[in-house]
Formats: sequence, C-alpha cells, structure tokens
Amino acid sequence: MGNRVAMIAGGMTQFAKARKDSTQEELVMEAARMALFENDLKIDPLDVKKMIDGTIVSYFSDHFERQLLFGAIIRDYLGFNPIQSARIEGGGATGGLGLKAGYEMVKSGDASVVMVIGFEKMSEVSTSKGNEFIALASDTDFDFPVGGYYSAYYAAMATRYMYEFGITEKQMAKVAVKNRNNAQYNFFAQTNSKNPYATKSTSGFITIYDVLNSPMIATPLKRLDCCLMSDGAAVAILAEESIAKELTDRPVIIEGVGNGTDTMRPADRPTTVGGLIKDDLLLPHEKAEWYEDMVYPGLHSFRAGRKAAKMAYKMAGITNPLEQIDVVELHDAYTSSELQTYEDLGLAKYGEGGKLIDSAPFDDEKGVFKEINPKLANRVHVNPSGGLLGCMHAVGATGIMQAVSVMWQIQGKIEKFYGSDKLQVKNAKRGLAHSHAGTGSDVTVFVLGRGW
Amino acid sequence: MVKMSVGEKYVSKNKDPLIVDFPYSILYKHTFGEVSPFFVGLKNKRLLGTVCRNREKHKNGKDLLFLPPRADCPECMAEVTEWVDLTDADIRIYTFTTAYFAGETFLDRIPYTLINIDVQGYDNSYSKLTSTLVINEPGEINIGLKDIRIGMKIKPKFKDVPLEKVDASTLYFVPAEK
Ligand SMILES: [Zn+2]
Repeated sequence: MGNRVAMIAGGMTQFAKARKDSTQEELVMEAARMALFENDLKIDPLDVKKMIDGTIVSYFSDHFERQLLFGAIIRDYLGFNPIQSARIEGGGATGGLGLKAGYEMVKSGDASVVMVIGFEKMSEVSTSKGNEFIALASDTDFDFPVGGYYSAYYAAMATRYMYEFGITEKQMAKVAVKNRNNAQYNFFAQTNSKNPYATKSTSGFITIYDVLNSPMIATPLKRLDCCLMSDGAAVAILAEESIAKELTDRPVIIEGVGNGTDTMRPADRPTTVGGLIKDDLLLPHEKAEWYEDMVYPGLHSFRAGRKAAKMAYKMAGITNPLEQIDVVELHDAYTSSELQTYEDLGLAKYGEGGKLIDSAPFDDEKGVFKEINPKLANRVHVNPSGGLLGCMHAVGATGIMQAVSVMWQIQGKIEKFYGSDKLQVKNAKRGLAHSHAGTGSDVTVFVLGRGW
Repeated sequence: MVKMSVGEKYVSKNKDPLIVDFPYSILYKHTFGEVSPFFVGLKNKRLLGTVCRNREKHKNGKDLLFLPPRADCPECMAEVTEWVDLTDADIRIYTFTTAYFAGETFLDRIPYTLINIDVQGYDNSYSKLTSTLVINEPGEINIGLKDIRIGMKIKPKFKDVPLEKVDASTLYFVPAEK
C-alpha cells in the first residue's frame, strides 16, 4: 500500500459563543495539550512532540481578531519553531483543507508526524459584524452589496431545493433536533448545558416545535436551522503508518481523501440538464438513468461535495457508501445543507435527502427522535458530535473537530472524551468526515478506517 | 454513575480577563476594471450583461450570458467584448428568500427580499444575478411577501446615486405581474 497516513490523536477546547477567559493561542494550547497527553500514546507525549516535523495552521478570517500571520504566534506559543509550517485558508472548509495539507506533508515524505491546528475566535466583534465578516467570503462586488449574507444565500438555495424536490421545513427542522440533542451528550458542545462556558438560555434539548417556532432568519430558515458561531480550537496529529503504529495501538488510517470546488457566486452555478453525468460525477452504486433529466448542480445541490466524495470513495474503494460507512460527521451549516449533503455523499438519491431523515423513528407528539443519535436508513449515524448546529462552528477548527470526532468513534473513545457513551457508534469501523465552504465553493471528504 | 470527560480538567480557572476596545476602520478605493460599463449602465438606468458566442467551445454548446458580467470567458478563455442590454428582457425569479436578519450594514433594511434572477431566452448557467425585490414601490405593482414565487415576472429599477457611489445595490427589481 505504500506509505499510508494515519490519524493518531486529537484534542479540542470547550466551544462557546465567547471564550473571554483565554486568548486564541491559549485556546490552541488547550487543544494541543489534550491531543498529546490524553490519547493513550505509547511513548512520552513530549517525545512524540519532538517527532513532529511539520505543522499546519488553519484559520479562516484575518478580520475576527485583526491579526495577520497568526500562524507565527501559534507556532511560537506551542514551541514548534523552527520546523516547517504553512497557514491554510478555505472558508468553512479551512479545517478540512488544513487536514488535507497535513496529509500531503506526510504522504510526500516531507514530514513523518504532523500537527494540524485549527482555530477561530469570533466573539470579539458583534454577531452582526461577525455575519458581515463571513459575508465578505462571498462576492463583494455583486452579492454582498445587495444585502447578501450566508444565511440568506443558503435560504435562497433551500427555497430552490424545496421547489425542485418537494423537501419540507419539517424535514429540515428534524436535522436540528437530531444534531442539537446529540450535542447534549458531548461535553465540548456549545449548546450542552453542562459545558461551563455555555450560554444557558440557548442551550439544552429542543423539539421540532422549538425549531419551527424559532425566529425567522431568512425564509425558510429559522434561528434553529442555522449553525452556531463559536470560539475554540481543534487539533489532530497525523503520522506515517509505521510510525503511527509505534505511537498508538489504535491508528486510524486515512483511506480516502477528496476535494471538489464550485463557483463563488450561486449565480454562476451551471443549470445543465444531465450535468451530473456530463461532469462524470456518478457514483458506482448509482444508475445514469436516475439523473439523465436532472438539472445539475443548479442552486439545489453541491457539486463540490459530490466531486470530493467521488474522489475519496475511489481512493478508499467505497462502492456503496450507505453500506460501507458507519458514521458520518458532515458540515451542517444549515439544516437544509445537511439534507443536500446526504445526496452529494450518495447516502440518499438526489431529491431523497428528506426521506433519509424521515427514515429514523420519530415521536411526532413529543417532536423528538425516539432515540438519541438515531440511525438513518437503519444503517448510518450522522453528526453524533452535534455538528455545527449543536456542537460548534469556530470556522478554522470545524473540519478538524469533525475528523477528530470520527477518529474517536473508530477508536471507541467517545465516552472518554465526550463524557458519555450515548454517542458512541458501536463497533464503528469506517467513518467519513466532510468539510465545506461558502455556498459549496470548496469541499473536502475524508474516509477514515480502523488501522489495527 | 456520573461520567467525566477528560475535558473537565481543561476548564479554565481564569474568571477575570481584562477586555479593552480596539477600533478599526478602512476606506477602499476599489476598481470595477473592465466590467465598469455594467455599473455606469446602472447609473444610466440600463441593465447590461456580456455574452460569449463561441458556443462550439462551450460545455453546453450554447452562447453564454454573463450576469454578473465577465470580461473573460471561463470556458473558452476568450476576451468577452459584447455587451447586451437586458433592461427590457423577460426576467423571472429563479429563487428567493426574505431576510429578517442581516450583517451590520443592512440591519436597518430588514425585512428585505433577496432574489436570483432568470433571464429568459438565454442559458442561465452564468446569469442568475443576486439582487433585491421591492414589493411596495410607489407607482409599481405592489404584492405581499407571501405572493413572491419562483417563475414570477419582474423588472429592473435603478436608484438615483452619484457615479462614485454606484454599486450592485443601485439595481433592484420590482414585480412585473401580480
Ligand atoms: Zn466562451
């Protein structure tokens, strides 16, 4: 197999709307310390640290903290000079792209052990200013000046998605219920009432009625359909396979890596009839006849997500994702985009993302799923961590938080880290971590599998 | 049995951080480059797009309308020099949302409706411009928020602003049918 790359350790901070107790570099230290000292590494953590011969620093915005070249501060604070390092930025997919850069550092032989460090501190400006900074990651000549911001871009896409496929607001709201209630069993999650940094008024369990009755942000998306904004950091340690096996009994192999892209402006997404087939984006388990007449990607699907999935599946030998993947952590920036992403990842047929969420037993009277972390299609668990809706969205850390969560699932360490075994997927052998930017401008997909 | 997360011992003891003010403001002198005629057009109450007619070199075999305009074709890499006037074209709503929250600059305008447009007679792959729909403009067709729908006919309108203040928001749309 050549030199495969493994994830061996991870760490993260408590996520919160505001972590005023610590600076950004102090938060990163918290996650890095956890990665080195709490992941059952077989040799002294400081000796592992000495083996690290590359770092990747991933953060999204220079505006949130008014600090350029933040990577230099972070490397210094963690004591990694003078080894090689690079800053990676790619909007909401910053974390996933950072992991990919770390993977490439090891795969190329330029490094043997790499720490990938993601962070964001979004609380130093007002929420509306923060939304504006995020909106600056849309086209500032044509989309931002007319009043564009991310919830509205996704809302307009959701309107079209509902129009194309008959998806309902109730199906979307179920995603919020699933993810937010999962988060109540994840100690790190921003909405977990037990998190000492949680804002109590916006924490705790929710029902579908809470989602449907929450204030309208941009039709059809309501407050609880939209992701969090967070302060926090997440860290992953990657190593070449043979070294990984010296350092841990439970290395998690990066079996597949994929990355896809699409236009910045929703305005410029092709509306080609049969576009999915013309772009060669059919997955092995799909039939061309399903999609010959479907406009693609339009404003209803994320072509970048499909491209990333196809690439990662090919590398990992995945021929039917729903049968071969046990647990998925995906970028649920909005409830609508989780449903759209089911389809891009091939977990559901295009147009049937709503059916997939409906497949999990739901108590209509109480407005909650019959169990926490429900199986979809009686098979796969999606966003046990709580995702961006329940756990966090500290942009540069998000993709790393989700990949580390998948790693802990495969290692069977969810109880140790989350503080509850309720979210541990029993006997998880293979997982998928998805990271996504813009209105789908950049997406990464990792397939992770048991390496022992 | 109460379970503990390893995270519990990482909880900060600091209860008394010092927080201070950092003001920051910038003025950008921004160029619209070769698509400046689009913005000059808005000042003159015209909606202009660019078209690349190298259809045999395009993925879908069609002429490509660019709206937002482009000075270069991403498919055939040719310079795009042909401007078309779409002020009186048949334009429909491709999709929409009504915003009840916004970034700081637009908070005073909520609720407002954002649309992506659909220019009839062209392939709309590169021309679903994002704009706003005003439903209560005096002297124009007035409708309710609930009446806004995909496929609805709309027409462009233009704010009166000095040339140095023109931007994409100089253009907006109003309903052209009930
Ligand atoms: Zn061309």
